[in-house]
Amino acid sequence: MQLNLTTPVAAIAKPLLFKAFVLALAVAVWQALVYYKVYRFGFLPSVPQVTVAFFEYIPSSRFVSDLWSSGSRVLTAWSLALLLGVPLGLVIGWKASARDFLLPAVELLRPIPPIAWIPAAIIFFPSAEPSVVFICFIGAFFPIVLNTFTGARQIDETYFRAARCCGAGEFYIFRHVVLRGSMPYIVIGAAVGMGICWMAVVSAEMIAGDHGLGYMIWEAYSLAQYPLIIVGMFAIGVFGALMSVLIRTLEKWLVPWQKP
Amino acid sequence: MPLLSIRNVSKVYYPRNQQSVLALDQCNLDIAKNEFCVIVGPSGCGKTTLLNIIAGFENLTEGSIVLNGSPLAAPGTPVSPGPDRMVVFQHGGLFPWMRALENVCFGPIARGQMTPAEAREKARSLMARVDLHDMEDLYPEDMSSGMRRRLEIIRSIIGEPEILLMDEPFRALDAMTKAVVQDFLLKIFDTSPHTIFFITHDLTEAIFLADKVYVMTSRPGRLKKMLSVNLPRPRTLDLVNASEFLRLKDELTDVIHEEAQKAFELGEREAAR
Amino acid sequence: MARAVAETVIQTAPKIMLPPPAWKKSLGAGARTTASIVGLLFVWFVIGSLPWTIAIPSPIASLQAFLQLNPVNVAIDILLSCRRVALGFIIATLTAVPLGIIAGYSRWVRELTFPIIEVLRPVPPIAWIPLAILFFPTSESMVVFLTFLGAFFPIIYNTIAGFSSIKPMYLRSGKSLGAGEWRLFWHVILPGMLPVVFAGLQIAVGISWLMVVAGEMMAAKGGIGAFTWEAYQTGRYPLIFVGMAIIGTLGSLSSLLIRTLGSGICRWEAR
Repeated sequence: MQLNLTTPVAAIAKPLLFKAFVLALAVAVWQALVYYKVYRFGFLPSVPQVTVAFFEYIPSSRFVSDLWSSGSRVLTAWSLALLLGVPLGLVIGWKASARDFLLPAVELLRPIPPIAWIPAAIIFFPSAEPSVVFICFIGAFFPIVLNTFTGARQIDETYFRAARCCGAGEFYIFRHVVLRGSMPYIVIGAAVGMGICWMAVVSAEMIAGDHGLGYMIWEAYSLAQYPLIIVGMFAIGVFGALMSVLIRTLEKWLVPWQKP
Repeated sequence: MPLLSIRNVSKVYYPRNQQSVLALDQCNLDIAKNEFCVIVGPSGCGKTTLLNIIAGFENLTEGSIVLNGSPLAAPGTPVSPGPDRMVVFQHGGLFPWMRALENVCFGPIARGQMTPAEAREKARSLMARVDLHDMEDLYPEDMSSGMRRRLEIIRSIIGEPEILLMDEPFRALDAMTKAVVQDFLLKIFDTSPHTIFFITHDLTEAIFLADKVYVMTSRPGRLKKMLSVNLPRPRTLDLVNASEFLRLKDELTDVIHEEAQKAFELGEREAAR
Repeated sequence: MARAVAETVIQTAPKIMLPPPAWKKSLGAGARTTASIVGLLFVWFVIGSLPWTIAIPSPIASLQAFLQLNPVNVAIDILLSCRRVALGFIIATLTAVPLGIIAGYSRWVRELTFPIIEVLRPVPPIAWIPLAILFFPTSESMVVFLTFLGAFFPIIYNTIAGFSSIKPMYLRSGKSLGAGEWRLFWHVILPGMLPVVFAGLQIAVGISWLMVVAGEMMAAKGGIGAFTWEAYQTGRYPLIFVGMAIIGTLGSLSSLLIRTLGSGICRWEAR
């Protein structure tokens, strides 16, 4: 990419056009595989079927309510995970005594994937809603804690010394050295956590939910509305990508001092 | 009475599964008020350890340190850094996540010495005095290394500390920048006197800046020789060609050369082990 | 002058040379780790004995349930899950790493595959499950496909990142030393990218485990995911926690395996 103020439109448009061409090619290959029933591709929905389902589902009010259910669950769980995970990660990264007490417990629970928590969540919570939010919370919590922890540990000892030299108290150091110094890593943790949260909401809705995009996909499968599955996957992918773009934008604002 | 007096200070390290290391052995040093005191010595000799002990980052094994009549450090007492001893760090201690002005204001605001508005006003006037006034919104990353050093010095004097501890602050600078920043430090020293404890391994720098130069030996670190530098102030760069300067440098070179050789051989032997 | 030096360097041992007791410190850390785990079990116990959570079994009940299990059946479930993860993970490694390297070399391959990868990547692998059930003839191949899918994207992303992370200086110095393309690849590019690739493998194996559990819970017979799900469906709640513990252990063991392999191969990396 040339750093030229008068970059011709063609220089930007050409790669985009090429990308569109490649994607169109991929769609054509898919259609051909389905049409000629190569191997088991005949079982999959064809491009025209998916297109029809797309224009039926996306403008419908059901899509809006599905999106709202999944999105609000993800945002609730993710915010809770940030609220609990960031302070926990900062404290265990900062204070060795807290680390010794809390890190082993975190390390013990971390390898259990959020999906494996589903049965436990179902028997613990009285209804589907909190269990789905809990599963998403588990998904976001561990990446956030561990990235924040890494962030707090990588802060150079010099900055702590400088702050204490300036006469800063413990809370002031926590606020202005530990928190701000870990911010690049907190943002990474938030982004990774958001991704896993989004994946967890789909799985939890498939297994335990009663509405939402994940549930919609599973229901489409059960009712043999196969084209709708692909529309659902598409919607999930687009909104997952949008959320990560959102966090990238927030990063510029939260970590203005770090050059990309 | 000296401002800072260091008496019989020793420091022993106990690395895990290794022999203990005697880093400092019976160091004695007095610094008078408004004196510029420079320690030179080969790398690894314990200069930084001594500075860290004065700053309160490490405790000492033996001896005592008294600042302005009150005890600062003794064996077994907890370490305590404080705004009376400001450190300028070897690799730079400016917070990368704060803009220049915020970095300078950090200390006074953190300990409630000034209100944010007062601190900003004072920081601005200090920065204006050293031509950094249009830098206040920059992050350290966006400044040149010379600017960063000057800003860090400003940050360390804004709270008017009793003593300034400088740990090879100009080590990573190129020769040109170094000359500029040295000149800047001398200007500050001449206009508003400070007590400075300065570490370097650059002999020219040591003589150019100091009132007194101490030579430190390595393994164990001992203060071996003291040279008084009675060159007139304010000092300018052409001083380095004066005959008195060259004589002092010669004398210092002799002492330090032996030490460097010894430290080098010790290092070689340790590496071979 | 020389004499003065000789005089000052008299080896005097200082009086205080007693090291602080190191055992005390390591014992303290060990005690805190134990306290941490005991604390976790205690929290579990408390949650289980809250009046409105009758369904949550205590740690002791779960341990008893575990001891009463038929070890052969559990071992079969574990091996089944391990086989599914291993197959999908190995296929993903064998396809994604070469593809990533080829994409690093060839602009054409890059421009032909990247748009597709970029479009597919944001779709969580779990959302593929219904399609995978439709497409694959057996549940076995379906689950292996899911573990493959979960592992594929992190591996290819890190392979490409590893490829582009190699400093041009190393390539230049390799070339100036007279290395040909092939030698440059084996001795500069491959070792340079390996640490990043291994980081990707580590993420990938975690997602593979997640996928095998999801696939087994929803659609496959046998395996530790199905074990956990059946425990829920048949109301043997203590076994849910046994299943979770086994899944967690297997996940961290495979992650440890990859890490050991990685640090064994990339010995020049610090740590």
